[in-house]
Amino acid sequence: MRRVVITGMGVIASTGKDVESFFSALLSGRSGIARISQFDPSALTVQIAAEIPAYTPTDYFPAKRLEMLDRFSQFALIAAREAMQSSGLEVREEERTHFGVVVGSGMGGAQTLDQGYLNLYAKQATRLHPFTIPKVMHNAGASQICMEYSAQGPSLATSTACSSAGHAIGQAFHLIKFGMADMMLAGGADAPITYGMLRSWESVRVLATGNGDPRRACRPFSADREGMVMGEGSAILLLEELEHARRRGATIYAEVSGYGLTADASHITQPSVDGPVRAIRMALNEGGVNPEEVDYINAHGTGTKLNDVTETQVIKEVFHEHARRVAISSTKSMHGHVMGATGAVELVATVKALQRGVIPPTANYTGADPECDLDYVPNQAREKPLRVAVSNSFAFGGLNAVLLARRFE
Amino acid sequence: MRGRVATLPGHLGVSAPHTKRGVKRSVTDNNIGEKVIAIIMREQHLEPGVVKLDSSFAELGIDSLDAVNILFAMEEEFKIDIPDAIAQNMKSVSQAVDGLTRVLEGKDISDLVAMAKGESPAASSAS
Repeated sequence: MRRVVITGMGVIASTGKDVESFFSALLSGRSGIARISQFDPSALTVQIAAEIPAYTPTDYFPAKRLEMLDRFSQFALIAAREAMQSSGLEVREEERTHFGVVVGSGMGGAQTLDQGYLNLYAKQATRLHPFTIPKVMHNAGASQICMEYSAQGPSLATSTACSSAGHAIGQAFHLIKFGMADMMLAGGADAPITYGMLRSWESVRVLATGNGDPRRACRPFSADREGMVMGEGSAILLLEELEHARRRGATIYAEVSGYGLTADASHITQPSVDGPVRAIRMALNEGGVNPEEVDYINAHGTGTKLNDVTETQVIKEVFHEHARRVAISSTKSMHGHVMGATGAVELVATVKALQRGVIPPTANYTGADPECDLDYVPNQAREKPLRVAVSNSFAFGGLNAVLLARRFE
Repeated sequence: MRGRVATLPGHLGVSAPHTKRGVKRSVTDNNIGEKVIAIIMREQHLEPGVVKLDSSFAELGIDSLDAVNILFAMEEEFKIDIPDAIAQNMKSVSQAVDGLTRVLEGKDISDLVAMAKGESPAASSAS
C-alpha cells in the first residue's frame, strides 16, 4: 500500500504569516483576534475577528495579477508558495500530470461578491466587473495554484463549510494513496471578513462578542465561553507519496495515515455525536491505530456552547477511559475559526506538535465546565513526546472530516 | 474582417501622437482613440507608447477575458452599453475605437450583428 507523507507546509493566519511565526505564537498562547480593520465595524454587535495583520497584497503580487485574485485566492497562493519552498520540490515536466491541487473554501470570493453587490444594489450600478465570476468561484484558489505551479493532475475544490480543508486534505491523501497522483498541494483558504458575512454569522448567534477584550474573546471548552470568532487565512500542505519523497531526499514532517468522513444527516447546524464518532473511528481504522495510541487531539473546539459539549461527548465515546488521558486542545482560541481553511491551519499546528513534541494550548481557559471535563491543555503549551494525533473538523451541515497524522519514523 | 476594417473612419490608420494635435481631424474622434488607448494601457498595465491604434489585441497579449475587461472599462468610462455584436468583433485597438464610435454616435451596426451571428467568415471564435 502506498504511504503518504507531508513534505511541505505553508500558512498565513492572524497568528503568523509563515509556519514558524504561526506556531511560536500558538505555543506562547498569543491570540491573533482583534478589532476588525478591513471595514468600520462600529454598527455590528460583533466587532472582532482573526484578520491577517498588516497585510499588503502588493508585497506578494504584482498589480495586474491582483486584479484576478480575491483575497481568499491570495492567501491560498501565499500558503502554497511557502509549502513549495519548504518542500524543495521541483516538479519535472513529465511529472506534472501526477501533481494536483485540492483547496477547500467555505465562502469563496466573499469580498468580491460583497463589493459587487454593494455596487449593484446600493450604488445602482448596472453591471458588475467581468472578473467577478473568475474571482468569486470556490475553485479560484485551487486553479490559481495549479497555474502557478503547472500542476496538471487531479485537482478540485471542496466546500463543506468548516470541514472544507479537512476534506480537501483527506481527498488529496486518498488520491495519492490510491495511485492517481504522487504529489498534492492540499489545504484551504477563506477570507470571509466582510460586512455581509459578519451580519450573516451574527444572526446565527454563535459568535463571541468580546469587543472589549478581543484577544480573550475565544475561550473553547472554558465554562465562560461565549462562542466562536471568525478568522481568515490559508494553510496548504504538500502531500507526497513516501517513495517519491525518499527518492528526492525530502524532509518528511509527518505521515498522513487515516481519513474519516461522515454525514450527521440530522440537523443543518446542530452537531450530532454519532456522525463525528464514526468519522474518528473511520480515520483510526484506516490508519490501523487503536484509540489508546492517540496522544493528541486538535479539537474542532469552536468555543460555542453546543460544539464543545458535543465534541467532548464524541471523544468520550470513541476513546472511553483513554479520553481522560489524551491531550486535547483548540488552537482556534488563538487563530480564530478560519472557516474553510481551518482544518488545514489546524493540521499545520498538529504536524508541528508531532515534530517538536510540544502541544499548543487552548488559550483563554478560565474554568471547567462540568460538561467539558477532559484535559484541554489549558493556557500553557505542554512538552510531551507525540506519536499519533487526530485533527477534527465538524461542519455546519453535519459533514465531518477527521485526519489522522503520525510522527514519521 | 478585412471588409470591416475598410469601413473604419479614415483617421484611425494614423499613429496616435499625430492625432493629438487634431490636425485635419475631428476633435471628438481623436479623443475617443486616445481614451481607448489610455483605457487599454491602464487595464493591461502597459507602458506608454506600447498601445497604438494599429495594434492587434493578440500582439498586446490581450486574451478573451482581458478583452471583456477592456469592454467593461469602456462602458464605465463612457457610461454606455456596448452590444455583444461589437464586443465579439473587437480584436484590435482600431476595432475597439470603431465599435465605441458607432455606439456613441448611434450608428448602424447591422453588419457586425450579421458577423456575430456567423453570417460571415469573420465570425468571432471567442469563447
